[in-house]
Amino acid sequence: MGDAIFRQRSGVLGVGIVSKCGLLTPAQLAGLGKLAETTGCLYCKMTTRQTLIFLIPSDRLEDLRKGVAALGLRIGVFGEIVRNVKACAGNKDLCQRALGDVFKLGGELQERFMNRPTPRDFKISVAGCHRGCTDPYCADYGIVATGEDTYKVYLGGRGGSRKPVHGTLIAEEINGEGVMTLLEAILKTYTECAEPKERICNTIERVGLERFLPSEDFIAKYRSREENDFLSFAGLEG
Amino acid sequence: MAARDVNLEKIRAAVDRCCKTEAECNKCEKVGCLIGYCQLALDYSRQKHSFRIPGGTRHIPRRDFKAYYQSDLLLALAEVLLQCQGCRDNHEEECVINVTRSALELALLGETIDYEGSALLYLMQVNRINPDIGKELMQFYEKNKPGRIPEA
Repeated sequence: MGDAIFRQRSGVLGVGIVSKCGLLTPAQLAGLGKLAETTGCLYCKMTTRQTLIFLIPSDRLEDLRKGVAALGLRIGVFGEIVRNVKACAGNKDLCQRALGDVFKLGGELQERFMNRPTPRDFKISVAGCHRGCTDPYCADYGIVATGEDTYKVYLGGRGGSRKPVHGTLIAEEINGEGVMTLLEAILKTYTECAEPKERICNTIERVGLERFLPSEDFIAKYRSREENDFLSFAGLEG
Repeated sequence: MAARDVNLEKIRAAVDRCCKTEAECNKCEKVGCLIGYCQLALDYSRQKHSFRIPGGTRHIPRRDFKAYYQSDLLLALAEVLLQCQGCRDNHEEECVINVTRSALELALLGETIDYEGSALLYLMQVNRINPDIGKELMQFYEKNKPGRIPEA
């Protein structure tokens, strides 16, 4: 585990830069442009996990670190840890189909969990609707918005692999707070049950999904109010 | 589901024609009535600017056995099918169009059919289950298709 800084075969350093689920303000974008020039960046690459790679000479790393921090961004992380959170273009500005604002939940998840040690790399993906543009069904922890603050959670997917695995639906109709609390519990169980360097899909296969499932009480506690919204509207509640 | 071209007002108008009114029912059951339920779902969608009806399919009143006027149901169902965005694999059960379709289908056929996110596939399914209704539904669908030149 550590920072996403890699010495490449060509001798340059590849440095991953993370924003909140790939969102950049105009000031950050302009600042990155300046930073690329002042640090002698050869070129940049947007990655599949919504980070930005800067290819710089190794003696400019500290300048880049300072510049990135000054822009309110972070150097990425790598290894057996919770990675940065990937989110689709899911808000009312960016997508016609988004049912909620994925950047709020995605940002909170990233803030709280990114860089936390895990037995194997742990990837979180958030999508603003069931179409799942960010492949939440293939993430270790996949979240799909079904309303403004209502989500489905899929566990144990694996993408980017010769043996892709679809995650299993473990919770639905829960709110953002429930998504966060559930992840906390899952990471604890995963750490307790996993063998060294075991991806969560393999742990689930070995010990069973039941160990990871939230209780009925948990679901009831975090059930989204929105789910009752139509019932109230229709006079079906109570 | 937040499709750009869905005209909920047009569906609502077609559904309203199916309402038997208090003159026939004595008292409006609203949520206990398949047509009243469609109206509620459509109103919710318009008011909340959301195409998703949370719990919408679960609460469809399956015990409404009223006999509706078939031609009105066919017209409303055809309108719903014309507004369907054809999401196919991305079909969502709680989409307002699907909720409305399911309720109208119950009123018309007395049973529900799995919807595969395509109006044409659905028309073929209805035709298999009930060829008479299937044929009529197809005629209504074709007749109201946008771009069709009205008969003289």
